[in-house]
Amino acid sequence: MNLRFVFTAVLLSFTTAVVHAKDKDLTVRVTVFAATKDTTATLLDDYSLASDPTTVLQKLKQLVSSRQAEVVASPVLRTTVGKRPKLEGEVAVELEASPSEAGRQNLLIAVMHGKGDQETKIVTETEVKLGVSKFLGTLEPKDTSGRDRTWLVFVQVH
Amino acid sequence: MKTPLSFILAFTLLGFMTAHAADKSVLVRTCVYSVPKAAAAALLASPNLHTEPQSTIRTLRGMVAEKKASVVSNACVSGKLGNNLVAQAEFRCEARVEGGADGMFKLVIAVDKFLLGRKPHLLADLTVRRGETQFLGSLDDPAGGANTPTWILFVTVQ
Repeated sequence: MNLRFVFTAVLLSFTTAVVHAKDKDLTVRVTVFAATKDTTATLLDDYSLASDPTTVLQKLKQLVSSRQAEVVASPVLRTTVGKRPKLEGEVAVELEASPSEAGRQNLLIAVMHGKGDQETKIVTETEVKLGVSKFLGTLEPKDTSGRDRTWLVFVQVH
Repeated sequence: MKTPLSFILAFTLLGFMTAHAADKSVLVRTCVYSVPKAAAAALLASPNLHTEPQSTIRTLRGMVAEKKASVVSNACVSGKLGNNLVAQAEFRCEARVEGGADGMFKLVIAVDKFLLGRKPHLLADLTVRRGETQFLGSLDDPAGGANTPTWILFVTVQ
């Protein structure tokens, strides 16, 4: 069997996957939960947000039901690879998607709340599995009403 | 020399699988407790602080429950290895994580707090094991008096 043929076939399939990813229409959903700093510390101690964000999300939803946490915002943006959409609201989101492996999406993303000295933000580059929520980080508002709370930020890309 | 096609395809597939399985994401969590100066001094003098930080954290959790201390910040950010990860909250944390082979990481982290023109800050260069919480350091307000708290910091890389 021709080794050159096999190599070309593998390279072609990889390139096709990358090109397909570049044209894809993406929906990026950011979900922000708020809980007291103490509750959040306990949650972060007891669960691994890195390896098991789904369990943490379920726990957060239970806390929301029992009014020990709340959903602050759920902004959604639509974009394609290479574009830089922005959204302003309770939280501001800026992001840029770049090509990644099939089934995954690379994101350069900033999530912010407040202005100037009062600003709290996360700035990071991460890779997410399509359709699976990923914990992005925390925000901690400095305004009086939000001072004792931590906001937990999750991102999901479809 | 003829090489079986199945061997070539298996080797190529193994290569892709290994690259995909490699964990390129980390979560950096910095937990900051605010503790009255006298109590903080006693905790910081403990020989267990570096060897058994969980013991100190348990003590702090008890103090938080008794309202003798508080959780000031749960700054978290997840992102790719090798990138600058920023979580700006009550404290600003900027971290860069390298490595990951056999669960050990090299972490460079800077933590500071903006306080009306003053900026107590901490810079650390550590080797950390994935999932293990380490004592990061302590900070005091440079213009603070006896009644201002000490901030005790712990870091976890997941």
